[in-house]
Amino acid sequence: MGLNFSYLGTQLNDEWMNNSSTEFYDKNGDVESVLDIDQINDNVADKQLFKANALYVEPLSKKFFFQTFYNFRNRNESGNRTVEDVENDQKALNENLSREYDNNIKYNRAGASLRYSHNGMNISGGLAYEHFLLDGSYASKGQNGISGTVDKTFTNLIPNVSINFQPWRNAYASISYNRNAQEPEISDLQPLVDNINPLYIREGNSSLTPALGDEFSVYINRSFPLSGVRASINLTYTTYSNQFSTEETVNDRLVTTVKPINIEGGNRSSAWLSFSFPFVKNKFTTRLGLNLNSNQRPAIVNGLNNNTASFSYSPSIRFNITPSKDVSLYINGRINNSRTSYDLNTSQDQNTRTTTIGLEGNTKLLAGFYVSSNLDYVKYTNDRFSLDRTVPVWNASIYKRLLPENRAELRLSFYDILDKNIGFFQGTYGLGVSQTETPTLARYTMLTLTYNIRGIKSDVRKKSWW
Amino acid sequence: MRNKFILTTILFAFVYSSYAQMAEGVITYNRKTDWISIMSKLSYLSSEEVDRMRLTWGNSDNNKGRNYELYFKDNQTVYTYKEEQSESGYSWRKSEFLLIRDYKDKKVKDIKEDLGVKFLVEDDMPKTRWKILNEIREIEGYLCMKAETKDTIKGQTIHAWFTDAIAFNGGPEGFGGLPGMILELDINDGDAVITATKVDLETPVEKLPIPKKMKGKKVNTAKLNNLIAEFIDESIEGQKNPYWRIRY
Repeated sequence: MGLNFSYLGTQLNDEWMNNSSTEFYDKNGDVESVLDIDQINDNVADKQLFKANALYVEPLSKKFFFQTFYNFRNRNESGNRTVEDVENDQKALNENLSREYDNNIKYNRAGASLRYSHNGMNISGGLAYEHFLLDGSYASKGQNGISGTVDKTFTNLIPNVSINFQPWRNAYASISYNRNAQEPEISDLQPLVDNINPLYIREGNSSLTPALGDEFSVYINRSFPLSGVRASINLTYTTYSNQFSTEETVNDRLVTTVKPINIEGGNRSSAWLSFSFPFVKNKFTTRLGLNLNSNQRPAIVNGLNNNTASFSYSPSIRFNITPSKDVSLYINGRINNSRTSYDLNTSQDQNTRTTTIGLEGNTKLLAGFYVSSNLDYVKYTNDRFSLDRTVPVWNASIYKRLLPENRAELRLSFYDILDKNIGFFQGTYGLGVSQTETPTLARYTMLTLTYNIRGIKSDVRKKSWW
Repeated sequence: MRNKFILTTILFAFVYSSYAQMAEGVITYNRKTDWISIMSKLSYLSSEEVDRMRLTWGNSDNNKGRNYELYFKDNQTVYTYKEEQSESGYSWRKSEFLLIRDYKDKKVKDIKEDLGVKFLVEDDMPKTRWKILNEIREIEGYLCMKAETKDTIKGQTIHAWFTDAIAFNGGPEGFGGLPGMILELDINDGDAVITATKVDLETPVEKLPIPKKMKGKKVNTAKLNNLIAEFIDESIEGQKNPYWRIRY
């Protein structure tokens, strides 16, 4: 019998300013109108999550076991957001964006399974009953504010089958099928409008139901201790009978209104392959990897069905060169290629690529000094937006161990020596493309003194499970 | 005088036959391994790493160990796993492990899985040099004496507690050669302890459970020891625990 409980509470309190100016042009190229936003946002949000799980296993015979389980989850989210528009130094409450909400999601799941376990073969099959209870209240602020409640109950029957076994020595395999149910976010159920971005307006949908998907997965790994070779493969495939998507309406001013919906169809698959082997045991080892992802996501745009298909492949290679405990060199490279295509408008299809190269070297010098250097080079490209951005970040440090048994370390570190560090991200999701560039802490120096009563290890090689 | 001689001969034969008839039975052993203690002796781990492991897993009382059986009859022993039901409802693949010792012909025939390979070891019985020490202890109702030997391949000091009340010079884990049955083995002061939990000399052993077919990669003791010694050196150099892949 097993029982476990957990509790997580978070409190968020933030204030930010939102300033933007949007110009709308007519077909002659003249500015037709300008929308200026100058807002102060004050947001307080509390979240509490409590989970409890119970499991009971009863042996029926030497090989058969009966298992029953119960899972409980209680999630509370409450918040108070005040948005004020500033005009001529006067603040006025923005009734559309200011709101209070108090939501509770209770999740209960009870089920049973039968397992056959013998000689390393474990086969189990079971069924669970899931119950979601979504209970929330919301109110926008001001004299004309709207308010309401959300009171939804969803139930599902969830089957699960899994086979776990060790087909050979030093190998492990797992094959499984289970059904996933994901409840909608309460904020998506609330019929409130969010126009914080005047070109991308979100609204809720009170008729959302849980997303249902059937997931199949296979995992195998095998190692050969004498030769040092390891290999693993992981495949998953999920098909959705009902998934969350969006219904978008784009008007002639190119203002997009988005609403979350349930839609039939779509699937997602991924494969991860990994193979590692030594050229020279313990001195020069390499690891090859390949990651493949494919996603078919239907959506509705201006009343028409669109399917967004994305496919990415990402080969990677890593070399660990560790001739001794005083010298180490790690080289890694990865190229992530992704193609996204849209049924309705193929002119918006795009290819993105992210190339990452990393070089890390560590060595011991004379008089007990050590040097460490780490260069990460990332290149982002997107053919649709002619994006070609590189971000090389070079960090280095010199340090010395002090005191008997290396109890202290004095280190002088230089971060972002090339002064190129920036938070950059690109990605495609559903019907959208995202590209963000965030200024971040760049080029600084630190002098640190570390003391550890048990001593600091002087080996410059990283521990590697493979 | 002649009657006395005949009586003495009959008594001696009776005692001798009793002695030979006692040397048969099944002993159940429980083997517990203290992984924290084993890892603390690995040279590449810092004392902080060992302390962290000890704090995280060191106080687990769930270690019930694993049970083995030693069948002995007619100067032969067979040592292997005891068939048991999993309590947790999950079954891990058991590596193949069967040790046969023939104390009359001085031969060994083992099936072991080490380094990811199933080995069939057929060789002459290695000579174990025992040093008998001056300590006495009781195990399962038998008075036992302590002896010590060293395994130079794995760098282990092995203490054996043996009893001459069981007239058989065998024991668990393939050890033997002492003037009595070994009821407990202590490897490296508690790193692994194999203790007898049940001694059954009453139930006759009809037949030793020797499998009809024993397949594996054929090696002799010296070759297997070389492979193991090489693997231990390589693993320590590569900062990996060698005992995840070989029997401690």
